Amino acid sequence: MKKFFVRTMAFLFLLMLVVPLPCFAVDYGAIQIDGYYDDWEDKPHTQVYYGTIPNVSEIHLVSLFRDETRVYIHVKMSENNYSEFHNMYFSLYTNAGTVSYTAITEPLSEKKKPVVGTAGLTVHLQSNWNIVGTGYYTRAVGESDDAEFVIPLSTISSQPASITEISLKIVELGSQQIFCVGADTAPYIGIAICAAIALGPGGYYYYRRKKDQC
Amino acid sequence: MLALQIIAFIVWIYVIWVLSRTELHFFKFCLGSVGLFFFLMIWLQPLMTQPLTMAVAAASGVLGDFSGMYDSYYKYSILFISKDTAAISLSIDYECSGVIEIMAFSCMLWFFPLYNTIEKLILNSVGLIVIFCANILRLFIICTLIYFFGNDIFYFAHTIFGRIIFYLLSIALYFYVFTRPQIIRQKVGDFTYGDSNQ
Repeated sequence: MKKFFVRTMAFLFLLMLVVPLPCFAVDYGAIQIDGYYDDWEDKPHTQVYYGTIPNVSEIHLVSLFRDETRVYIHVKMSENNYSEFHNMYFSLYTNAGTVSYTAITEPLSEKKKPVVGTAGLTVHLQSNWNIVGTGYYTRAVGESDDAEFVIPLSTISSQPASITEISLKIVELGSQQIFCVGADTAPYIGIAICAAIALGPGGYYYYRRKKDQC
Repeated sequence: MLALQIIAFIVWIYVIWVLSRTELHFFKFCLGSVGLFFFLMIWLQPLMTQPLTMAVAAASGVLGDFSGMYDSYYKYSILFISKDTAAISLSIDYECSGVIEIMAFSCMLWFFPLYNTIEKLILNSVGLIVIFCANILRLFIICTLIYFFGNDIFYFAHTIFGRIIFYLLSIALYFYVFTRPQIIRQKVGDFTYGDSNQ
């Protein structure tokens, strides 16, 4: 019993050495849908456009980010020509199915000119027009529009954890798709194969010994 | 629920103790490693996953920076591969991090009867490093294939090629840690060659 206790303690101590436990409380991934876009600055963005670079007039930046239950989308409109964010149709393609949405912008206050500021937007399902997501868009003088919104993964599948591959296509902005995928190792299959290798000779040896005793 | 887990843990310790006393090594190995894996998955895996995914992303990013083929956003456990019209974010979650493989290997090792405690400590450290590096190599290969062949290759790169590489390295590790010493250290008894003069 004492030997087992010492081994267990040694094992746990080793795990503590290897794993930087203090990091676990840090949550870098949180995105606030609040009309401020600073939390998107250090996220990867994909250039979205029609045509072939360098013969492209408008290049938009789109970022797709997900957590266990939601998918977050940020759009930075092109600096020239098509720089205002309007109602947009887009689709999410996943391994659990494809769902189409429309982002509907609420009007900005027109009390002062030019019309600038931040206003809300709602995300509707194309199929039944239910509101499933919310967000904001911002217009400023001399700058292209920003927009951010969030959609629950439950609108795609009742088991969001089963969604491992998501791609976004906003046809009004460009032909590119933005992919966000997992790359799991299929761990339990791997463990089963390795365990068979580990247990195989031991099991065979045990079987032979039992057989010899009989 | 926690009370149930603690009761199960105490029962498991008692069963392991009984199996140790009765010297049923094979059953002790099976029940011990499976039980320990179960409890680690409940209690330790939620704590280990995030730092491990960040560490995997950061270490993969070193290779990505060196090759210039992809960027690592390790704070968010993301590898971002972008070339021409192809752009893909590879999200490293708990099934990609290798945490399950590390725990399974460690649990088997600590109930494997052939090694003493010091040997287990050393082998566990080496095993963790090997699994971690194998995972980095797997992700590097996936990212490299996507970089050169585009998003269309992702399914093959991830589901087939990357996993085969990872499994081969894992099998090699298991062979050297578990299979080989069983063959070498098991008692085969004394033997002599027959006297050729007789």
